[in-house]
Amino acid sequence: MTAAVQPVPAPDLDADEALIAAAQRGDTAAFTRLFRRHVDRVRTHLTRLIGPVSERDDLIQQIFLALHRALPTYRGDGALSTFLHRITVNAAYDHLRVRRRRRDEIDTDAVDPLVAPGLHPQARAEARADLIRLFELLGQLSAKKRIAFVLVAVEGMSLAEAAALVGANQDAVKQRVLHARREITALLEQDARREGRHD
Amino acid sequence: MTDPLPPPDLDLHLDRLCGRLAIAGAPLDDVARARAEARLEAAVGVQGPDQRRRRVGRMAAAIGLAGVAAAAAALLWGRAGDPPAPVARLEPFVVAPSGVDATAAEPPSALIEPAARVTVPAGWLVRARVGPSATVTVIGPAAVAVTEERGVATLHLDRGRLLGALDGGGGRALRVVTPRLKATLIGTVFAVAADERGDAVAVLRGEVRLDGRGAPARVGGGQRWRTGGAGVEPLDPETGAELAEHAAIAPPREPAVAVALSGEPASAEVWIGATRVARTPTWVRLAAGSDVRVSAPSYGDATLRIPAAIGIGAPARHEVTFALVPVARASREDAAVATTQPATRPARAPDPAPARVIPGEPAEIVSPPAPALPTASDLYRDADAALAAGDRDRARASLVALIGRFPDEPLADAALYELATMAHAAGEHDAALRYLDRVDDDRLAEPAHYLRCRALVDQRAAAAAACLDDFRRSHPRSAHDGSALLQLAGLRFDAGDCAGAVPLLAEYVRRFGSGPGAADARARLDRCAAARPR
Repeated sequence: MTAAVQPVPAPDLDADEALIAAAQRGDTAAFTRLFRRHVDRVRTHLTRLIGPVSERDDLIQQIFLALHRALPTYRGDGALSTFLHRITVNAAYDHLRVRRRRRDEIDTDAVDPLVAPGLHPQARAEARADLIRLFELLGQLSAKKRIAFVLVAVEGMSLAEAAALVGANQDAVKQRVLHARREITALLEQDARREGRHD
Repeated sequence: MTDPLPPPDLDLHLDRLCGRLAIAGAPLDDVARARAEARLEAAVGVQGPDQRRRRVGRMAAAIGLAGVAAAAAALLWGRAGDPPAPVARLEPFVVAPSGVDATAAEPPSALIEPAARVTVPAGWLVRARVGPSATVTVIGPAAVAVTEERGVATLHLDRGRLLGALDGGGGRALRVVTPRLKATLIGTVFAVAADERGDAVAVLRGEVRLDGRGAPARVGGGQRWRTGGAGVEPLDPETGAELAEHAAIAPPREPAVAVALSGEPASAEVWIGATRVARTPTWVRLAAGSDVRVSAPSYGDATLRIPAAIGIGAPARHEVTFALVPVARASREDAAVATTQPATRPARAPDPAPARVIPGEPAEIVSPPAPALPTASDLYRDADAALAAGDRDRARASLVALIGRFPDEPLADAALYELATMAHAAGEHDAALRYLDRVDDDRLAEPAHYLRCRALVDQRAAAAAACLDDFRRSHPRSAHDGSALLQLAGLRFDAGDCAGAVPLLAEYVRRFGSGPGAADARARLDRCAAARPR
């Protein structure tokens, strides 16, 4: 990778545990605090997986409602952030399967907020164009390949971590990532040929 | 990015694209976060009462008291539907002179206390919060009262001038009523003035709906209207700047403490971060743990730090005096620079401890060394951070300040471009075009040209088509070429010009067959083919 994944600060586990315990007792305010602590992290993961689509905030609502429904049986045997990441991946998969059939277009204006702050407008325009192109390329992949590719190639997860998150074995995830990379590279090659002809 | 890539570079290219996404953050802005929280709480809250209601229902059935169950259910639903808490008071956070030449008298301290009605004397202004989503600046002489009905605050402006900003998310609204006019505001930055001769309404952003004799039904962003004027007119720059300044000033976080600031020189500027909030002498409410800076042209700065913890029993008010040291003592040349361009050159105090605190005062003066006044880079970074946080008003104010103070800095062009982008996003296309007219930086030629075309697309189709044609000729290798091509084709198609549209649509499909507009382009090609006479 050419750039390190932007760290999304991991929330304090002790505080999460206390808030979960309170939320399990029916404390809505504690659940709201859990939402505040984790929503940016969830939104960032979700955006990487499905792109800056308009349904994102509805999906975030569904993800946290899924967490709320799971609270009575949540045992806390792992970090809440990992649990939420798994729910997020599942929500992204469900969304992408439907979306694949609908072939939604990218809202290019929604890409602007994703560009790292502090760039000169020209560099920002380039970063924006790169992100739009990447989301277009990712949009050509099947849901499973796309998720595996983003987890490994963008978020920097190991195959074992990605496999645990998506509930598949490592070999399957490895194949998905390889196929995804091959498909995207082929599309980039087509771009390059067209550019060559255009010039 | 648009260079042809030989195969060995494709992996690197893909890694670069992935790297872009890896460093992309997607936090919610404050407004979206508040909305999301409210939606989630409502959804979770419904589930809770549902469960409780079922439990009550089972108990009632067991003891044969169905009426109890119905009453309990009604009670629970009633709680869920309670209206928001009343907002019928102004909560001032700044009381300050309204102009540079205002009197040096003590600020009227009673005005810093929350009240349902304020009378602001001439020469002074009061900035106040009205409920959770609105702020106002009342400029004296003025009298304003606030009432609330069903969660909607109404400001009764008997006379004087009032600037306001309302976050209209979640259907929030605000009304301003003068003796002759009723204004309803939904998500806007606005000004209303009333005197015996008539009323005036100005809108920086959003829309104000009016109900009054001779008044137009609405005044939109970038417009103003006044009794006896020539109808709805463009907003004048002075009022626009006042409104942008008002919108950039945020009320303090709680807990906050009221601080009276006065000293030498009179009429010093009071800054919180990169935002000027008042001139001295002033009362300001400051958040615990925050810093406030006092500065003046040709003088050094002083920074006051409010204690991080404001405990129970601590004084509710503090009085702080300061004495800034003239820069002229350092060198005549520096003083001259500071006098003519006070904000472009950080004016530093050469002598130690020029500020003092009233005995017993718990606030801490931490100057010198004093921080520099914001540079062009500071202002640009502040605007960028504000944009990232979704605070467009603060971003706009920082960018306007940058352009005003550093017109010759290269960043001024970048600021103009950013303002144009924001204006375009807000649907203020004329404003966007005006900003773009002033951009004079070759590095911005391509994005500025493209933004100009986009602004025109939403306004004037013919001009937009000419602009896009010119853009494609001037920047044939632009990353925007695909989008420009698609928009140009769309304009021709929408105008019924299939002959002009088809070559463009075909080029788009050929070059960007997997692009976001390919399906649409193909559909339009089919429609043109179907419409062709046989």
